[in-house]
Amino acid sequence: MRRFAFLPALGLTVLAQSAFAAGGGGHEEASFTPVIFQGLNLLILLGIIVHYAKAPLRRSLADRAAQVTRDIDEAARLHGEAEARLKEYEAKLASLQKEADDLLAEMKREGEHEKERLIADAKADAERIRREAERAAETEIARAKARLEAEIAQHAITAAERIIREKLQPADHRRLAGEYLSRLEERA
Amino acid sequence: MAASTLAHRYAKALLDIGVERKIQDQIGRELDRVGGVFSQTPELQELFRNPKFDVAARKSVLGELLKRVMVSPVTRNFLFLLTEKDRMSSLKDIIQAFHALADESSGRIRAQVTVASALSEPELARLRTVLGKLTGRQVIVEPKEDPRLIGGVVTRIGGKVYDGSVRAQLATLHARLRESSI
Repeated sequence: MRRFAFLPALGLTVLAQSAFAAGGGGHEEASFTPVIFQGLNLLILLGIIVHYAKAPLRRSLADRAAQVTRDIDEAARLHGEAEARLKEYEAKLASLQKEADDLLAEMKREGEHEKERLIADAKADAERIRREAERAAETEIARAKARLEAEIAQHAITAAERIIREKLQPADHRRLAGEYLSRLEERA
Repeated sequence: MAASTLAHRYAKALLDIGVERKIQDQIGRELDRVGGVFSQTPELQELFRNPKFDVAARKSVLGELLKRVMVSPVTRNFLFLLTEKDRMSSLKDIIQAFHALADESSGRIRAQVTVASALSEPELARLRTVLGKLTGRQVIVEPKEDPRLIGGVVTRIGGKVYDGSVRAQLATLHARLRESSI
């Protein structure tokens, strides 16, 4: 493009000469010749310009067209990519939503399971505490019963001892000694 | 040296002298009398236990005691020897060992007979006879009264116990009551 920067200046110069030549003429027949020359000059100039600028201009236009085509292709590609990414994002978004839903559902399930487990644990603990309390009560009752029976037995023995002491006469001592000696004699 | 070993040695030495002079039974009785006085007199036990009393003081008191208790010269010298060796604290063990050795050497055996009410002489004789049959040895009965027996007799002889006391019968009854309640 920089190669053709001189073209506007050249064109302006030719136009200026044409105008000057037109203003300087005072006669009607004399005014056609310069115009023709100027027109020829212009045509020659244009021919030169076309001759030299045609190929670069064509290349430039072709390059430009190719660039525009590439730009369009690139834009199409980018558009395609954008669309693909959009779809991907949409898919991801949908997937995320599903994941979130799944996660929520999983959390709900786990929460339900945890709730059930806690309830089961609490029931088991309650049952265990109840059994332990029953066992403790049974043990305590058994102990109390044993203590009571021991006390009764002790009282019975104490009472028996007291009565025997009161009732035991010398003749009884003799009888007891005799029975004792008889038992020893049976062994001998 | 263990107390039992020490008592056994002293008892054996005394028994040998007694057997040699044929007064072992007399020595045994004298030892029982002296031992009885000692066991019933805490002041005497204190005298022979407290180190603030020297040997001379102890021998002086012992001499006075033996004048009253009347013992043979062998027993007297033996007790003074124990005093000099500071072995009077083992007198009870020595007496027991002496009797055991004397009984063993003469084929006798002692029976500790505990009763709630004293046995008559015929009962004691019957007991000696039956215990002699059970042990095959001459039995020396050492009776002792203990009202805690309530009634009946308990005999300890040669490591065996023949318990015919009312206390034992009540204990057995008590145990059965406990077992039946369990």
